[in-house]
Amino acid sequence: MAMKSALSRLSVVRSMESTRGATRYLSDGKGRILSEEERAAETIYIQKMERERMEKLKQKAEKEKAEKEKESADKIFRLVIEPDMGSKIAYSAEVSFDSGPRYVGHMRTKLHSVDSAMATAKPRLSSFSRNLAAVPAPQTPGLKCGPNGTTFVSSGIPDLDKILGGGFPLGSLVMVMEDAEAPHHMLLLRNFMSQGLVHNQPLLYASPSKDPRSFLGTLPSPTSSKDDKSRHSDSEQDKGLRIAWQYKKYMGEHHQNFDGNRSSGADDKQVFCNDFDLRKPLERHYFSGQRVDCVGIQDSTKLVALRDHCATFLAQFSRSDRTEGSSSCAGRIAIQSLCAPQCEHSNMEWDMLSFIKSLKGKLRSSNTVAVITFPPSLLSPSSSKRWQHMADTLLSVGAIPDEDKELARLLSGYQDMVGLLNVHKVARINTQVPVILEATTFSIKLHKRRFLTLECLNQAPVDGSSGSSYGTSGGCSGSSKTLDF
Amino acid sequence: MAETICRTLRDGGLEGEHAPALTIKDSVASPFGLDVFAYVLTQLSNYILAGKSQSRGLVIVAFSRSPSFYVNLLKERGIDVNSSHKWVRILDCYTDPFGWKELLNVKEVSQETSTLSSFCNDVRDLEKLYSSIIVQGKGLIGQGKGHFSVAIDLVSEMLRHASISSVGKLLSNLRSHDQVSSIFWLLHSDLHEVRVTTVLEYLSSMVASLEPINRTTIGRKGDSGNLSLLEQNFRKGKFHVRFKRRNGRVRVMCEELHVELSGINFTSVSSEDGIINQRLLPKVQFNLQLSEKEQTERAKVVLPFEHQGNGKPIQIYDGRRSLSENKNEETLVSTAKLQTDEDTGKGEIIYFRDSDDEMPDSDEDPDDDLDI
Repeated sequence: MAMKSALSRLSVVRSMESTRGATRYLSDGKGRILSEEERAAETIYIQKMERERMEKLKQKAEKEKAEKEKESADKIFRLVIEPDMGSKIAYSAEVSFDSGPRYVGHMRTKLHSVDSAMATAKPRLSSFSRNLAAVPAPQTPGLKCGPNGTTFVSSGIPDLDKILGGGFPLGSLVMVMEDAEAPHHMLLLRNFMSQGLVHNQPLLYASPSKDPRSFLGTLPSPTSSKDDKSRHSDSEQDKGLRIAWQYKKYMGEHHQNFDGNRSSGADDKQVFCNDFDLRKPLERHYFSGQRVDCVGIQDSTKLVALRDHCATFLAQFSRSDRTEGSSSCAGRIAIQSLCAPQCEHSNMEWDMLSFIKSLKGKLRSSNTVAVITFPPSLLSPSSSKRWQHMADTLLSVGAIPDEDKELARLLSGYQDMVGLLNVHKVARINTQVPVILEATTFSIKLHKRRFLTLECLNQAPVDGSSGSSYGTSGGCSGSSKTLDF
Repeated sequence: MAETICRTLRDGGLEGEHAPALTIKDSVASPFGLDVFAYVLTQLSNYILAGKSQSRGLVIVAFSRSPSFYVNLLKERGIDVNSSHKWVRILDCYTDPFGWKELLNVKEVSQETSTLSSFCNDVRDLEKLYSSIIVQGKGLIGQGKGHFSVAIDLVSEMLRHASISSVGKLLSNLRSHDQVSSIFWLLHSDLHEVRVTTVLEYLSSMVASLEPINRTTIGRKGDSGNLSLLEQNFRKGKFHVRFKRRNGRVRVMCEELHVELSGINFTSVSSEDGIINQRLLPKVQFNLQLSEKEQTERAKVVLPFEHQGNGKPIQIYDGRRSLSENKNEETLVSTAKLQTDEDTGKGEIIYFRDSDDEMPDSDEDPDDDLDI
């Protein structure tokens, strides 16, 4: 774990070092009055721009470095302390040591001043900052490195990945609480399973039905990228900022096109998370062969058969071996309706609980994600609470009433909604810092009846004449109609 | 609305989908479950006879009434019984549930029902029950890809002899069987724990529950006002149905039912405030996203200094020209439009100078140096 994070941080720093050599610093320490240009250089806009450019360069360099890093034998960990925004002096300290037990530290300090010509002011980012711009692992498109040494796999739903901060972390247990009245958990499961198959990750699927393999016929297929363009533009409207700025005319070579969107990576052949078209079934070749294992859990008492299947499946992805190939392989387990009433074990609550506990323990030491869905209303309340506590990531789906006029007035987009998704818990592995989401309830919509999207619940525009608002957050709309001076 | 139920049962399920399942739930406060069951049964039989339904036959699993009851019921409702062996079979779990009479070699056979009914001797063995239901159904359909419907008289009786998980297994296997087009069953909800009722509701796609018109406490005695209300409960009731639709939404409907000699009548509810959906609605936010139209509008907005830095000569406004301000900020406001936006054009600001000594610069509109 620590090695991996050391590696990623290392490559970041290395690139910065290479560019640092190129800068010219007029170390002027005299404290002269800055001209307008130089003042402009210090404004936040410039530095933001610079930072963005630096990141782009960094990412490019990283990719190259990551290739080279594989060959290099010794691992050097460097740490650079960065200037903070307002000051003109920057300290940098470098500490390097080998991967062996020996600790060789040499400190080098340099002083730089930042009030230089604007073209050369390149503030660097602290390597302590939370590297939220995730670096894609070069070889495997299905995995993404996240903070704190975790690796994410996609859930199959782009919106859900965003909400959860990257996806499902490997080694975590995701539980989805079903609603007895709606089949939305199947949508989540389908996308999850399809995403795994598309990324060539082996899958174990268990279900209480008599013929689990027939469910594979309902898995959706990823759409072609042509259809994605219209949806990508939504997410990028806030990236392409147009800034009207008075000093822009001085910024000759920095006159950048702020509207330039980052390439969405749609030209990559394999993206981290695909959009799945729920109306198109997944091609058969994806689940032929040994990649998918289906288990029926109806008949096994005490879940013995399922436990054995899981154990053999998880043994393939053990994290303890450090070979190169193992990190590229991840597995997925999907268990549907674990406590469904038609299973014989459904009233053996302690057995089910011990199964989950043993599964979770094995998961932690393997590169797999498990998704378990269960209807909490069929368990006793204490048991249901225990199950919820076992989960690393806890979601729940809910049904919405049909043709409900009150809901239609309250929420915009009610017509397209098929259900609600609540995020109760988000997995945080290797850290104590919790995730606090802005919104925990999302509406499940089927965009064009094919794509699953999750949206925040938005209040419908209140009709001014009725003057009634529903007492939720927006109180200003509809209250006063004219402004009087 | 009861029509809706019957129509859903008639239409059956799509290919690859589980068959629609109806739970009729009653209690001692409103004990019309069997009447509703009979109503649904006759409606479905009519549809089957008329050929309008997906299923071509009906298998009745009789636990609480004898087969002759059903034959008489069908006769009363005007359905032709003579040809009934072509489309209905009754699995008799009423006469001899544990096989005692067979042990004692007592045989009771009545003429009419013998062709229709077959005995089930051990209701505790649900596997066997399942297979006999399927066998009966296939016997009705014959070879080929037909469908049949299943009606289970009283699931509460089944639950007396078997555990809920085995009953659940039976029901879900029936639902997922290819040739079963629809299934419905009756349940007395006050005979069971809450969990049992939840399990059965989980397994069904429609839940019809019967509730009394007037909720009165049954313990009071000698209260004449209450008696008349109680009496009403035995003639009328409320019929709530929750449909689980395919798209995942739940439709809730309500009707009143009246029991008469000839059967049961459903009327729509006269004055209804609407079922109070006490759902805890989560916090909603204002929509800060822009629709397509709004995005194109925003792209068209001319911002002040945008055109500078392009290499063209820069003209800075020096306060002499009048600018046609083009700032169209409305596209950036959330879609919950404030009424105040429309009023800004109407107000006027009238300003009198305090003294003539003021520098003329202070008169300038600070927005003047924006260069568009």
